[in-house]
Amino acid sequence: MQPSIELTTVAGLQTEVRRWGKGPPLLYLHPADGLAKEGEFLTALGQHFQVIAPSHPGFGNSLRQDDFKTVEDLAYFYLDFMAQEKLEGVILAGSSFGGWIALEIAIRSSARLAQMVLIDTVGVRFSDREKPDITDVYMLSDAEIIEHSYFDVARGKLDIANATDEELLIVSRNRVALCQYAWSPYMHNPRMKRWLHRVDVPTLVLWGGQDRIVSTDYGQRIADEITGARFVRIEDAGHYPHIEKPKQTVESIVAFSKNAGSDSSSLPLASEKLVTAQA
Amino acid sequence: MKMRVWGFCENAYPEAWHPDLKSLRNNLPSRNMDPVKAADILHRHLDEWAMLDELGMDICINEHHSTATCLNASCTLPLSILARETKKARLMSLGIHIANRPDPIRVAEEVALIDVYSRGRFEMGFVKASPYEVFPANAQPVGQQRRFFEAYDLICKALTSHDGPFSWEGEFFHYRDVNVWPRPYQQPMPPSWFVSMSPNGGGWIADRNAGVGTFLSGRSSKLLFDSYRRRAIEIGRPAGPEKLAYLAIVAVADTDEEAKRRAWEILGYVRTSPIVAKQFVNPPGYVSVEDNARALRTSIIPGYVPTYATMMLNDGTRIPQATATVDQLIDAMAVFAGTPDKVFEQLQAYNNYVGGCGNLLMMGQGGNLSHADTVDNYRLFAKHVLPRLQDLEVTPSHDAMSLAAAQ
Repeated sequence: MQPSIELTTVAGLQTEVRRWGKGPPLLYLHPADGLAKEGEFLTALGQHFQVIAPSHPGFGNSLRQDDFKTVEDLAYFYLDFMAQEKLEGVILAGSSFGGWIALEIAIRSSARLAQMVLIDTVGVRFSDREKPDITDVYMLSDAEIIEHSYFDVARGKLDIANATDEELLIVSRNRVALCQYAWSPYMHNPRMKRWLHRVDVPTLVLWGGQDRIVSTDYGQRIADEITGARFVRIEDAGHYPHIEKPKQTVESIVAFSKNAGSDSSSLPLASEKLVTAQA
Repeated sequence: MKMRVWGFCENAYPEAWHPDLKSLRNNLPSRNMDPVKAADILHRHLDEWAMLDELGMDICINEHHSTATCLNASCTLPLSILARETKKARLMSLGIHIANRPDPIRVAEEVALIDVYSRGRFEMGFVKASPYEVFPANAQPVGQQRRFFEAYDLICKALTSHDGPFSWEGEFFHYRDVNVWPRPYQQPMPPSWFVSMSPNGGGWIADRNAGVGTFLSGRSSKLLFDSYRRRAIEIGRPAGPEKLAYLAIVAVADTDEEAKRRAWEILGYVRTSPIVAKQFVNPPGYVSVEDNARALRTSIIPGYVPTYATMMLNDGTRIPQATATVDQLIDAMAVFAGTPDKVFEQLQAYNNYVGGCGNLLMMGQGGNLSHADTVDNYRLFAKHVLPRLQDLEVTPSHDAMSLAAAQ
């Protein structure tokens, strides 16, 4: 299934939006590499949901202006977008950098949200000032970034010889946009942990078991900090389990969306502490 | 015309240049450096610079960060020492990394202080800096050019405002009350310099009435100077040789053979400067999206990245700078080396080629060139070459002549 692709204007910026399928609205926020490798996952997700996947300002064919600089700007941008689209009961999903944006949205307003899915998200800081939580990709070579990001390294390779000029332009645009938003403080908002209690929608935290960008411990910690969040680990997958294990990832999201909020959930709660807290 | 000559060197730490290292910058642990030896190196270069004052030359100092190729992590610190130790030499920073410094007002204070210490001998050069410098500075590479210009505008206003505090709410910098003491010695402020490595990069520098410097650019420095002169004439600003500066490797000795040996030692800089891990040479936003997309295919990063720097020879062919021979680099006008007569002839040829360049930034030390050789190099230059640069005949190129006629 090919998505429909359209250009629309959000907060004064020309924005590229892809859509798949029908059903409850699922707003998907892509990771640093954009939407290039997301087709299989989003197509499968489109069997169950009305998937809406914009390119963030500066990524893909979406424009960014010089006065649009922070993940805070992205959060307000997507609050505008959901209002403009008159979306209600949204499942807000994000991978990695996209998960950070989802968190920034949720701590501001969950009025249009029903659930949230965070896939190997970044955006929060837990450890002490001298121990990084998130691997610094800017200190790594391209090959090392792929080794850290993928369980199956072959899936991460950029096939430059067969890429079109347009695809390489998008790779370059994505690189600049990510750096603008995430250079420093690196890949997180130092104030995020302070406000995570404001996330008041059922949340699924999905994690690649072999992620070397952000560890499963980090993912577990995020699940611990969000009231009632569920944590699911996907084995034989790195930082992008939805790219390496799309079927399993979609199944987890579908199961969660059906069971969220019900007492008969088959998914384990994030921690014993939360079980106790809810009892 | 007169060609001023400014002594220059990188304050390298060659002992850490292990041939198997893949990066001499950013991620080379500082345990590869012995601070006692570093002190010897830094004092030695201060002595050499102080000697330039006695030889009637000027002094130019740069900075790099987190690297074994240059121990000067600040150009203003050694210049402030020299402001006290020297009496006549003009002192140029080339340059301060103002796009990477978080506080331009602190830069304005340092600049004004050196100018007062030296009683008006300071010339303030600013550079956007090599791409890999954003990493040790933790400076956002995206939008760096706009931040560079805003920092410069703010520094100029801070140096030239004398009526009490002013406020600045820019895109990058936010100050309620700026009021710099001491104010600079020179009025309205010390002369400004910028660097460009681009053949058509002179326009924005002329717009700011600053001098333009360029490093080891060889023949393409003429194109840069032409673009500067063209714009300066267009807007009615000075476009003479005194506004142009060229940094080259200069080695003088009693014989050509010894001079070329000295040049080869100094060229240790050119051979090691490009040794930097690939992830540091092209930070996001440093080149245009289009250029970056092309670079993904060719693996060649456009613009000035030393790894890929090539130079044009007299016959029009291009050679990679880092692996070139001394003779090739003499041909390419990046190196002036030989007996005093030869060096004068080479400088004269360069000066004619570019249509008159009033400032030679003489890299008279580099790599493993010893203190004794460095002193001899500068002394021979000062005795036999410098006097002949005080009143140079220029036979300008066709372009330069037509520009002069237009003026």
